[in-house]
Amino acid sequence: MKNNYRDLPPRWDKTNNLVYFSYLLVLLFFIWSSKQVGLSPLEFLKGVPYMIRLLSEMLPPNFSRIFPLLKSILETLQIAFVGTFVGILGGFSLAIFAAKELSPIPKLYKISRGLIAFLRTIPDLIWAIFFVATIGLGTSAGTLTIIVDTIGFSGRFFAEAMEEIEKKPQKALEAIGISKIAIIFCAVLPEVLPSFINTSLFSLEKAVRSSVVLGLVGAGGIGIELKVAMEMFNYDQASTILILIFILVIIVEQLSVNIRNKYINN
Amino acid sequence: MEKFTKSSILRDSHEILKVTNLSKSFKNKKVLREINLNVSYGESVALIGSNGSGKSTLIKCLLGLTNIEKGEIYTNQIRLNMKNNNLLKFYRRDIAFIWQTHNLVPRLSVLSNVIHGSLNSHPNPRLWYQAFAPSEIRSRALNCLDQVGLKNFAKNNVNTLSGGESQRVAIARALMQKPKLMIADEPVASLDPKVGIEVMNLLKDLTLKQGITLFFTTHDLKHAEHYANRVIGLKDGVIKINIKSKELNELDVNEFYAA
Repeated sequence: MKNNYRDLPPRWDKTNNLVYFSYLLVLLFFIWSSKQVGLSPLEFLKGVPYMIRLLSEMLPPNFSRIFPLLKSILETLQIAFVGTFVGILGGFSLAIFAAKELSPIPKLYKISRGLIAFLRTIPDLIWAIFFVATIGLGTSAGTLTIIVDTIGFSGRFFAEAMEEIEKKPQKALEAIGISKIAIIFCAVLPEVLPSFINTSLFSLEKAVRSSVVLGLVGAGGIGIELKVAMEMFNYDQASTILILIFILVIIVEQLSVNIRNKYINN
Repeated sequence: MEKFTKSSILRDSHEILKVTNLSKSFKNKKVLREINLNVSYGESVALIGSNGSGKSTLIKCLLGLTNIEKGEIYTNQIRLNMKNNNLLKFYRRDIAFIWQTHNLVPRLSVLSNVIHGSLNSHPNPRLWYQAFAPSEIRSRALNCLDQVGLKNFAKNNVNTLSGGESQRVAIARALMQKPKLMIADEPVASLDPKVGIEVMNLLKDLTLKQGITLFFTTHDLKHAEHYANRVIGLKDGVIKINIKSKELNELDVNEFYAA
């Protein structure tokens, strides 16, 4: 049989010159930006000896203050845990209003969407500074920050999860003549549960990491210890703190992986 | 219940379902044209018609799942009124609907799903999950499951059921409503023929025994003949056949399905 090459479909979809031009623009923008931000191998190489010196001062870690540090890291975990828990409840309540077609008060759809976007847009560090300035130094400022940040983060994913699920079970209950609120609890919630667990666990992981940083601005937890240690040039203490943070983050992430495997993969 | 205007209730009617001059179109395309339809209490009616004939749209209209353009629908003497949520809930109270796919809520237990059937007449948050439901409701749900032969499945997760079992659970949920009218849209289309017959037999037996009127759509003419007293044929949004199922003959049917 003779091969007929003429009838073959084209390998690539036809693109116009404008598209090629925009690829070129993106490439040029990258090159210009790299120059602008000072990304150069030379700069990095010049810094290497200083990095080595800093690292050598960090080692071996100094464990003399281990007990106050442990107390402080527990506090960090507690800020993250309480903040996430309350934040998830808030995020879920807000998400119900921010899910199209589900919203019990459709007029509030746009407002709740906007509120969630607003909470998410402002970085956690800014929230922390705001709360420290308004309610004072300490863990309650940190916890409030995590709550607000979690509402913004989880609210969006909760709302999207509720919009994306299979609608037929809800329709079936609607045909029976069941109220909207009941449909949310009877049909929507069981369907989105895996996605909720997933988002909640991510929120917790995210909260643990950010609650470390929050201490830097005085919102409680281990961050302030790290800041003091670095500023006093106690690098061997700083490395102990970093190890503790590392262990905390690993434990929370592992726990979250285990829970995820248990509840979502079956 | 809410105040009814005189026109919302049809007293002393022999018809459980009364449709007058029902029209409906989607984007300038007329799907239903001036449909008039009566179904008496205790009847079993099959609705046939090729794809796109308007069967599913008619069913959606009957349940108040889509807006009606023109015409009136009375079910169990109550007029369909979609403007008021409470009236719509009240209208739906006596109608159970079996979908083509079971549409059970995933990840919940069989028992919870069946209990949801009584949420219209008992709008009580305790009925959202079987664990909180009053014993009286749980026992009634178990009884409904018994009637579809799945008493031992009460605690199972619905995700573990087969297609036929799921559809039987959906029937149990429908029975939980204590319906006067059972509407089914191709209830066995997603099942294999053998299981399909089992489910159709179950539907027929249960509705007959409990005096429930059955109104179902099907592509299977044997089902229409065997499980219905009357067959209604819809073509291009118009009722073309309306005869006793005994009178259904091949010639008419071939002509009906021809383009």
